[in-house]
Amino acid sequence: MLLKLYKKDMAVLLSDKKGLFIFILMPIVLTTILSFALSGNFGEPGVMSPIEVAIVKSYDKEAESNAYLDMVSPYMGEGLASLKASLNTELDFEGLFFNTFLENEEVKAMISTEVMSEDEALQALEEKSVKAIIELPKGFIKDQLINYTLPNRNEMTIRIVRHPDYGYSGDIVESIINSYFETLNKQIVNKNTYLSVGSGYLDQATLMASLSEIMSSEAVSSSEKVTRTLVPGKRLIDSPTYYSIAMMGMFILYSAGYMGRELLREKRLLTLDRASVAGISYIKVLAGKFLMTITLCVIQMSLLILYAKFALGVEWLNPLKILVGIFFSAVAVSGVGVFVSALTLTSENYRVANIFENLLIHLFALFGGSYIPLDVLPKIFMTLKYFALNGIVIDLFLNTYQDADWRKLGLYYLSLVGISVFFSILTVLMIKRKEVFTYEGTH
Amino acid sequence: MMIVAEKLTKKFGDFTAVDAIDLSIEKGKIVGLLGPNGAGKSTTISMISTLYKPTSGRLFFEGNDIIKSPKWIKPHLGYVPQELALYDSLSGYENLKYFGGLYGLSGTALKKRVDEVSRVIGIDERLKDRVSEYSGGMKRRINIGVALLHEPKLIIMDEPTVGIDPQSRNHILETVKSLGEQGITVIYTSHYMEEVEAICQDVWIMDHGKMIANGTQEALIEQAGIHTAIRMKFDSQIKDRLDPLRKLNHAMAVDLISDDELVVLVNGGGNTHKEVIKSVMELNYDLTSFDITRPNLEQVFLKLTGRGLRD
Ligand SMILES: Nc1ncnc2c1ncn2[C@@H]1O[C@H](COP(=O)(O)OP(=O)(O)OP(=O)(O)O)[C@@H](O)[C@H]1O
Ligand SMILES: [Mg+2]
Repeated sequence: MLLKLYKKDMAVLLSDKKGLFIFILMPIVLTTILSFALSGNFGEPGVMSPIEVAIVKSYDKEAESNAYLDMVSPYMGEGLASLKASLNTELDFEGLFFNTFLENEEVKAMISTEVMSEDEALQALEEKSVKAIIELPKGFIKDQLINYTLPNRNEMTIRIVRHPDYGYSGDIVESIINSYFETLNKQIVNKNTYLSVGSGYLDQATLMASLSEIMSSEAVSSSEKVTRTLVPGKRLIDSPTYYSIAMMGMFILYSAGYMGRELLREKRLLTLDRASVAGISYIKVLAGKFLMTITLCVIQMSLLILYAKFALGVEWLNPLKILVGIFFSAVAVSGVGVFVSALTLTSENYRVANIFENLLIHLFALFGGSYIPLDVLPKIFMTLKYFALNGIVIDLFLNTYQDADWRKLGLYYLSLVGISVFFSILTVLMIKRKEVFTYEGTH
Repeated sequence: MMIVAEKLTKKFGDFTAVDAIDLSIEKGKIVGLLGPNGAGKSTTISMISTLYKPTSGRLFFEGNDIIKSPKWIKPHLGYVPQELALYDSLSGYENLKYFGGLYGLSGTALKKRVDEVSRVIGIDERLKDRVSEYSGGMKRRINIGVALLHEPKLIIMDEPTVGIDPQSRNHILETVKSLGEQGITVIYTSHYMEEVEAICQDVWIMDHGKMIANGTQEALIEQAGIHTAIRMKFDSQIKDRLDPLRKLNHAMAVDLISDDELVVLVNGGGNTHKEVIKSVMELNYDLTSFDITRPNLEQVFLKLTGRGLRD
């Protein structure tokens, strides 16, 4: 019997071309648009809270300064004394970076830094108390001194270690650091004025301009290279990856919305009466629709995953984990769907379903991270997302993308099943209460 | 008796939609349930169909209490709701198959019944089209067909001919008649008294939630004391020649309408009105035309309530 109900529901669903467009094509279209439109866009700096960043000093200022002096002293003669003095003024590259640059108001609005040892920093990143690590390498002082005062150039690499959950924060940190060295570099090219470094370049316009320039061109001819590295074992999450997951999280909620209208729709169509005269209880009808919603979600998610892979080049590592994730997400969505459906039926109007579709889905989308990555928002949002089904689904798939182990994923599966069971039980209770006044379910 | 209701009552909040009605429906009959809008017909039918639980009273199907256990009636009941109850984005075929399936039919048995039913309702040709593309009449026919698949003993139809073309209406009425001939019991709700007159053996009349009369059509007419009216027109003045007319057999009353026109009310059913006309001819009055109004359920209702069935 369940199979017959299910087959009918699927046939009705597949005959609804407009619905299918929203469920299946819209997420694909939006994913495509968002991944291109937002790939270099980090939102308004003003609305962000500063990103916590750890700084690891791998250099030794004292030793490197002395090594530099030893190197140049043969050529300096009388000037050596004044050069020595300027190591603490114009040529104080540590001071320039830490005091002038990082203490600049606009930079401070974007990142807040703390110096740590490498171990501390890695642990902080793992615990997510910082969102990225800037590693100032060995030779940071010496190489800069050489580059700014001598004709020869020493290559220097600044490492940014980032956490995949904070892809956007990582991007922002990277751009800021890039723009710093980029600007310094321009100063060198201009030759005459390394002394004025630190005054003019920090206005927002320049910063942002060079920021986007850096994003767009790989070949920056600077001797200070900033490289990105991830926490060991983690993969970078680029915008097609993020948005295919984010849109998936959001659009499966529309399946719950569709399901939410189903019961009242059939009640009004009187087809529910017919089923009930034939001895089919509301619970059975709902069970059929539960399966239909699972199928719809599985189709939605699979198509989006495949689209992301083949059209946007997203590499999903482990198909089995993806499949299992899809299944449990669909189960959770169906649980929420039957609940909305029962609420809508008992209230005898579509208000509940409308509120769900027109308001709640968008709130969930916002707080669950479907519109913008939550790591650019104040920290509280990272917690809030667990109250939105899409937030959990997004998190699950970000972890699945990282090929997290089954134990970690299992926790997500468990909470998704929990959500489904919780809402299904509420639904059954509600329907049973309604049955006190009618015959439903007594047979 | 197939259905027996005792003091059956349904309240919606403070409003009593069906008020302590007694009803008994004999097996194998086509029974009309007649009443104006809001009389409580659909509510009564919904209780028999186990869609609404009665507020009080008792209700039996073949002697079994179906308020306690609706399961007694369910497999034997075909229910045709007042509105179309179909998935109109699916085809007629898919609808028939799905609803037949709900009664446990499947495989070739189901296919066979779908074929038979679609022939009975006369839309076998366009069965694979979407219901939304059907005409109003075709939709109504599918709506009925859906209730026939499991070969129910009792079919309840709630105004199955609302808003359709005369051809489909006739087809439906013929279908109902032939169901009756097969020994199936039919409860037919309508406020078109012509339909009820045409197909129903027994008639129950409701108004304001109460059952106000029941019986065969003849009995109802007899009870209500309604007569056949013959309107006669003559070539010349008639008012001085009324006495012989008043003395005719079966003539209850003679009312003059104008100088050369009158109405004779005839008592008794059957052909008594023909005798009256024959007698008038034999009087050699210069009768030029006449017009017979047979008593009908509309008049019965008017007589019982002082209102028409359709206002
Ligand atoms: N679910 C309900 N809740 C409240 N009132 C109802 C409900 N169903 C019917 N009624 C009221 O009960 C009365 C009888 O309704 P019912 O539908 O049984 O009449 P009906 O004889 O079938 O009329 P119609 O010819 O218009 O179909 C009406 O006044 C109607 O408004
Ligand atoms: Mg009605």
